[in-house]
Amino acid sequence: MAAPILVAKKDGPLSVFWRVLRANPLSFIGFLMVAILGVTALIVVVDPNLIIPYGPLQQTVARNASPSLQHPFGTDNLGRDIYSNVMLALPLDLGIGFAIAGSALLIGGTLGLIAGFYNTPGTIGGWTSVSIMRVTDIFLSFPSLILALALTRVLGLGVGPTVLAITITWWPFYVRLVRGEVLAVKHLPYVNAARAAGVTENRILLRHVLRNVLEPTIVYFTLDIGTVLVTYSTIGFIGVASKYPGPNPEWGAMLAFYQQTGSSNVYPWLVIAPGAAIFVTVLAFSLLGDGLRDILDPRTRRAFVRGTIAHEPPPEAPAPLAVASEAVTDSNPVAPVGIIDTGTRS
Amino acid sequence: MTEPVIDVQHLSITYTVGAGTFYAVSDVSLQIYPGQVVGIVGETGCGKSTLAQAIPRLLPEPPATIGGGEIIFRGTDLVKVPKRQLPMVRGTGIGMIFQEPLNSLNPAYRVFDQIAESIRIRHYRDMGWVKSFQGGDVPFDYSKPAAPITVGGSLTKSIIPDGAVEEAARDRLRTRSEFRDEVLEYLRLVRINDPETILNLYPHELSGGMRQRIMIAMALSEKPSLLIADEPTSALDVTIQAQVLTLMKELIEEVDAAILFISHDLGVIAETADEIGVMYAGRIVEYGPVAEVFRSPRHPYTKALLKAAPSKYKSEGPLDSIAGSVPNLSRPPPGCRFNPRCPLVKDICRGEHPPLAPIDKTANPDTPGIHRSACYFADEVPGLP
Amino acid sequence: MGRSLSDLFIFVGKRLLQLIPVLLGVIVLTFIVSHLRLTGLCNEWYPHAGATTIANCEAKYGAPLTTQFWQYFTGLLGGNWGASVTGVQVYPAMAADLPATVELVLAALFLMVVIGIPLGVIAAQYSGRLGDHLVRIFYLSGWATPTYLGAVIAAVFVGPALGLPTSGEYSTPTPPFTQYTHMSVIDAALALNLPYTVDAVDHLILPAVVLAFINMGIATRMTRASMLEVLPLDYVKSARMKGLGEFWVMYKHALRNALITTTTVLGITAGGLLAGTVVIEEVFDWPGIGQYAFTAIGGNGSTPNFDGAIAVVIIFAIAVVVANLVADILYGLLDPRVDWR
Repeated sequence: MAAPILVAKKDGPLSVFWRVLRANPLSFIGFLMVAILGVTALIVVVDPNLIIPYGPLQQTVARNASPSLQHPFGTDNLGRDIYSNVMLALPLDLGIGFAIAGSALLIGGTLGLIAGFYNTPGTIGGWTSVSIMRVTDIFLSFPSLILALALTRVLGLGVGPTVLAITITWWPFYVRLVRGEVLAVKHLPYVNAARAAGVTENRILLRHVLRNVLEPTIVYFTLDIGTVLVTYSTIGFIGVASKYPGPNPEWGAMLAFYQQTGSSNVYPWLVIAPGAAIFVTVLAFSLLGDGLRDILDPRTRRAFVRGTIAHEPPPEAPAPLAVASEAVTDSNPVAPVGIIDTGTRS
Repeated sequence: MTEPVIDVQHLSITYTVGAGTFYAVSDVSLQIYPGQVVGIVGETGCGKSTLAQAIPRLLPEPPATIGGGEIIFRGTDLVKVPKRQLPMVRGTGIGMIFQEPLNSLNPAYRVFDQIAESIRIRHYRDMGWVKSFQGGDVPFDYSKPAAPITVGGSLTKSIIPDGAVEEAARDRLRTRSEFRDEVLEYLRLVRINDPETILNLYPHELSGGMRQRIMIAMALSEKPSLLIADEPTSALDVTIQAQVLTLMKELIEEVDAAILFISHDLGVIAETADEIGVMYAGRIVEYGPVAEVFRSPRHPYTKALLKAAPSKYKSEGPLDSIAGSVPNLSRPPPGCRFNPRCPLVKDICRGEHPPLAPIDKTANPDTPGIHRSACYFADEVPGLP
Repeated sequence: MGRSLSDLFIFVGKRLLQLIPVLLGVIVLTFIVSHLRLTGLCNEWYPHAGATTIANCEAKYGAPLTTQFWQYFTGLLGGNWGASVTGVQVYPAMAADLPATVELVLAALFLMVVIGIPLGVIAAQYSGRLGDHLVRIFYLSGWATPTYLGAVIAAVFVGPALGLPTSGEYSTPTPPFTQYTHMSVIDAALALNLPYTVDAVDHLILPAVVLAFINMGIATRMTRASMLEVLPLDYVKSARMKGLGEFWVMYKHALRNALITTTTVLGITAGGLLAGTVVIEEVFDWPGIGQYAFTAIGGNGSTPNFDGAIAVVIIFAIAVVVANLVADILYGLLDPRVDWR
């Protein structure tokens, strides 16, 4: 058995969540950032006039203005306010990211569950599983950006077709992810115990396997939103998705427009603003996802060691005799908060 | 009178984790003399592995902190040695064998390479080409009877003493065949027949008992002054355990190193150790010559432990066990840590922790190896059922 | 012990055979995807073309699907990969462009290995403390930067600031020596032309650094995770107890085992690096298939090249498949526990 196991005070899951989040500063920052972005996007959708002074195509008298109080990110050569455009793009880009990643998760996740769980050879389930995996493998042979680009060419230009194209490109990742997790969990001792107790396979899938698969999938999903965003934005940059300047600005398209019309050398904020916007958004999700990954992986929980030095044993104060009952006994097993792993038994 | 090879004085080790501080080892003292085998026995979680790994300062220092005390190895306090110089002490100074043979040999390298690495390190140090910890002019060679140990090992020996340049050049020309002979020699030392056959094998191609022997050979090939065995037989099958134990006993006869043997198995300790320390909740509660402690334990925990080890077949009824469970070491009970479970407990037990004192009140407490117990009521223990 | 030299042939051979069905699948899928919209396909691809071009296109793509596929398939194998609207043959153009991209990807991989892996080791050593957080911020920033953003910032701001060139392989359009490999640095070195070698390296720096920086996270994160799994194991402590210094313990013992998973992951993602080259080569005017792909797809308002686009998709997919194969073989080589038979 590992060296001493810490006993957690009887905390609810929410306070554990907060404590763990605080102990891992980077993921906490990511969480805050995502929260702020989400709230801002909500405001923009519900009541844009609250924080957006100008329309996306509205031309003002200030041409090529540097950032100022009037125009926090400056204006372009026709006086369009960059700040407004960047802000308007926020809910669009966020929404697209969630939509694509979410659809891919649903489609790919379901297929992955099926492929992983019902894969006994020789049955209908076996055949389905094999065919799903073959198709997935072939899809996965294409770099996602390339495939998505090719699909946009076929499906047409514009936001809708691009979203569809990326979704078609994206679901195989979730199939592979979920199937792997299902395979890992399917024959764990306690799942076999449930089988031995007579639980039907379907119920095992829904109750036991699904719960275990959910954790790593959520981590992946969080990180994936950023990746999807980058892909969509890159396609926008290449010039296939949103039209800029237009009523629905998008960061990648903005950057492409200003970089290609050559004005960015002289007026750098034209590219810095949308670039920073996408960078910050993707970074937020990456921090959160990367931190979540560490939090949920028991092997890396040792990262939560902080340094406080204790030089003396606790003062010998009288304590109630009930101290023995707080130790871990067989009757009240408590999940350990952190396990110090010296790698040996003591 | 010779100095002890290792002299641990009032060592305390704590782990600091986000949720609190954890007193893994408190106020442990012990000495081991050359040629002596000291066994530490205790339940899981009592701190014996922590103690074993703390001595060569193998514990990762950020979570683990040495809160107080000294570890005097051949005259030098290891607690004060800066981290950078610690590798010099290990290997030729202190050697260690671990519990899990599956994980203690590097799966990516062959048997020959792993043992040759140890031998190479020793040769480099012997020649002075690399800084080493061997004190004085007499390298500690356990094949000879123990020479008097010079106190104050030199960690400041210069890297290139005279004549070493040519030596080093010659050493680099040393072909694998020279190391090969030595490697085979050490493999034979651990009673592996036909060692040539396993030289090119990887660890995953060998059995557990074989791997354990190789680990012992690796440790011994550096001729350490102190050998720490951290539960070397606990992960082996009973029959293999017996083989490896026999091997260790024979080696102990031949080798003059000091040995610290950690185990949770009373039988194993009884067979191999000269003196035994019983640990409970981070403290040594009883210490003494092994025969005496087993025959006449003077601490309620030791007595209960011995009783709980089944020695006869029982046809019916529950096995003897100790009521209660091991305390939470982030909030240990005040006073004697065994007091919640002790049949002899009185109020004084919850005050100051009882000192580890000789049971013979008239004896000099500094006599090494004398039978001691950390219980105020050591005399009443023989009377317990 | 199935790891002799002859076993190695079996090992590699088996995997090469497994390639074939996947490659076939790739070709079929590409075909299906590219012919999804049969009506109006020609208008879509050549929006500004004249009537004759469209008529030719309709004639070619109006034939029954199976005939089309057969033409397509035999064409692929025979080296006839079609042509662009203006009649430029696809295959020769791509063959000429490929080495430059290979050079770029290799340079980026080199940087990722040489910088990313030690960073991962450091992050694992200082896990949970400042060093770990700093490394994380570094590679997460790279990951969060879309390729185009990194490329644009580098080309527009960093390049001029550091005096590094931001366009092309050399300072002159054609170098004064024969290009044998079409890889700029190697060609210049082979010609023993020092100023041009330095020039080639200078031109390679920015695009390679951008490509490496963005993808550094893959190497670093995998190394960190593998090291964290390996470091608590007993053989690391054994290595310390032999008296080895921390450096050797980390690199010779711990990393040797952690690298097994890291190299395979790197191999798998190397194929994906190609996707990054599309944007980077466009921004830095690097003459590789990334740039070819960019124009073929119709980026930045250029005339799309249908045949070229299909060819590009297939080539990129093949690259991914080959990279996976290499990763698989590497895993078998590096992990002594794998039986080659």
